[in-house]
Amino acid sequence: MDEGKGLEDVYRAQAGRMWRALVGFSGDPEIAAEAVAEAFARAIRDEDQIRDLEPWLWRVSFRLASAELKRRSRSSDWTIAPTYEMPDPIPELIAALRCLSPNQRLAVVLHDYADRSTLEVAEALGCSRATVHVHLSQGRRKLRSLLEATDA
Amino acid sequence: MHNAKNTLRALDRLEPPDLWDDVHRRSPGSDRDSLPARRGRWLVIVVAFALTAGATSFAIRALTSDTGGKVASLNTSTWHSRTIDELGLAYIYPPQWHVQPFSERVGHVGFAGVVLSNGSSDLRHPAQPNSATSAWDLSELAADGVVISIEHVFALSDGQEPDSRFPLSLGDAEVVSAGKARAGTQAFLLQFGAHGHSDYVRSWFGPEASRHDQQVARLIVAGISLAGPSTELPNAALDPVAICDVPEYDPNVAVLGDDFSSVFGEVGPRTFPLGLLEAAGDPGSTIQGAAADALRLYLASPEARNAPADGWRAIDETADEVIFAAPPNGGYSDWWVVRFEREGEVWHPRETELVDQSITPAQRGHQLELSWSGDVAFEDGSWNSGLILTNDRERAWSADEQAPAIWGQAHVFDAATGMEVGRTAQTVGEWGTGISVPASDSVEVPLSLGGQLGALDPGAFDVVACVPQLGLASPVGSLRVIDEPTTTNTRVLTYSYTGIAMTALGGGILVDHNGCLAVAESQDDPRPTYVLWPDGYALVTRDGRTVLIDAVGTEVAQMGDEIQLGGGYGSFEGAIGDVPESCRSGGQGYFIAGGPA
Repeated sequence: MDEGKGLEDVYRAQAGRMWRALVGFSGDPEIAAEAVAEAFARAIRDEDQIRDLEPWLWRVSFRLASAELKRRSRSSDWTIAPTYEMPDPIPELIAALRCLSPNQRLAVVLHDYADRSTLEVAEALGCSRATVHVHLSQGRRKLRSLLEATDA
Repeated sequence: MHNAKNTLRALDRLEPPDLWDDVHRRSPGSDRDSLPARRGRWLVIVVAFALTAGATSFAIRALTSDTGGKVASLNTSTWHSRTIDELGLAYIYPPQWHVQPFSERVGHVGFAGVVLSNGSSDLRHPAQPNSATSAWDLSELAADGVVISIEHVFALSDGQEPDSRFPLSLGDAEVVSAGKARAGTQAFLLQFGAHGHSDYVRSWFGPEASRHDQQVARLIVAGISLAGPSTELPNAALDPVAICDVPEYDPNVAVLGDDFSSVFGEVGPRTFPLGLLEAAGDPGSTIQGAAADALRLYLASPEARNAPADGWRAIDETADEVIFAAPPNGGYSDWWVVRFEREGEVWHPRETELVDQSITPAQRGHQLELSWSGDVAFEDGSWNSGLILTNDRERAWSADEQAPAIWGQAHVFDAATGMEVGRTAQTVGEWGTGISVPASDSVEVPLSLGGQLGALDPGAFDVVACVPQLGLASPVGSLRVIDEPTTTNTRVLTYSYTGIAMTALGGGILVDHNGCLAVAESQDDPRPTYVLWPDGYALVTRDGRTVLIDAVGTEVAQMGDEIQLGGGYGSFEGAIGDVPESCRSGGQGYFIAGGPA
């Protein structure tokens, strides 16, 4: 692949949606931006070794974001997540997503927002597709009840 | 009804940044799952956010310029006095000034305090679509506006701050940026210590603020004082991972030894890279490296006559210490380990031990998850668990024999203050008492609450359950204590039970003797034996009866029952610091119970 052109095409086609999905997953535009930029930077570096670029980018960016969230949750210096101005109803959506377990959240965002396959979600989570379905089912149910409670 | 796909479409309203230049500029990291460290940058964001959040949690809209009719007296004897209970502070203010107490959270940040201003009345949240934003709006601060904010940010780790000397002086404040306030606005930040924590006074003087109102502000700051003992600070966000000290999952390591191993230089097991252990190793006769000759001398000694001749490798090495390991012949243990220490130029064998290899707690609990099925409720001496263990693996999961019975060790927190209540029982269940969870299925596991019962009163609490054997932490759940957990004054003496106990039989009738739980040969036995119970055992009132329960609430016996115990006698008089004088056993010793026989 022509490094600059091919990857830039993928970037233009995917990065926006990837960033939005990562905001949904992490609740933090900064983490989302870091994860997207880092994933694409690694794709440029490792392009020769990547067989299927698009799923690779999604998987890597979500793993990076997930690891960063874990790191921050364990780091005493990172108890605060910066918040940003976001249009309604995104803040309440993100607040509800935060109430899901990380696996449920990742499954719901990747599958139901980013339209990634359950196979890709399974690869990102390191679990089986059957388990993805469990996460999806539990996550959707929880998200629905949380948002309905907010509506009420 | 919310459909997940439709609901998530809201994210399309976000405008993504263009990161393409950043993609090309950055040097990608090498760690597979980590973003490159940008620690300094994050810290800047944290501090900036936290201070700003604490300062102006509310946008100040109505600080209009109609302050002319509300001139405050500089005679502070005419002022009002109030307290900020959460911070243990008192403050004074002129009655003409607006007072806005606040106790809020934005994201994970909690902050509380009071905003005092010479504005007309209203303080409100920012005119943002929601309250989740941390954007601050001081743009409507009146030209003659003066605002004082006395506040604490609960997410900041401020350690033990010595109390400041009062009265405070605004003259000691540092000049800081006024942010989006109108041009010419002056902003000041004064940090001070009270009750061991850091608080802040922030103030803004509009460009046309009168000298009079500025003086009022100075008097307000000077009037801040300690208001008796502080109520405990609220916990901004309970962090189950930190509370349970959840270990990192690493599939490429293994544990050698157990809690009693000493061959690794200190008592306890140690983790080693799996690759090191899976390597073939070398014959002792040809192995090279530091202390290799000393190993050969050791292997030739009578002490090592049963030691393996082959498969040796150094599993740890420092300038003064080398630990070798090899799989022993016969399979009676996993590893023959010998540790050498250097004295001068000579290596000496210090310790030899046969140890087993096991997986780490994080490996054991990998792809398992804890959750709550609902609130935990304590009523009539019993509680439901509600703690759910879910197996996210593709295959069934079973507790292996290297793990004791799985239960959640409860950490209970006052829902109002965030402070931990009572003490988590330091005890484990029976070893090899496994549970099994089918793939993608869940089971309820018991919750150990016995350690806290003496400290709980009726009310609402937060609870986090840890399963250290699996390296798992639950989310924050809710505990409702509906009635008094225990109504007896009889003390239950406990000790940390590690799952290993003596095997003698003891027992008798369960009685109160001098205020402590003991076993007696008969109701009129003049010298009953005090029992040390596994941590978490407690006396509760159930159905009007006083019963002894174990850490997870299982009834062991009722007062007056005859009970048989497994354990043994020991005289721990010197080691037990928390036994009431009346319950000291003297030379008789205690019966150290592992549990009912």
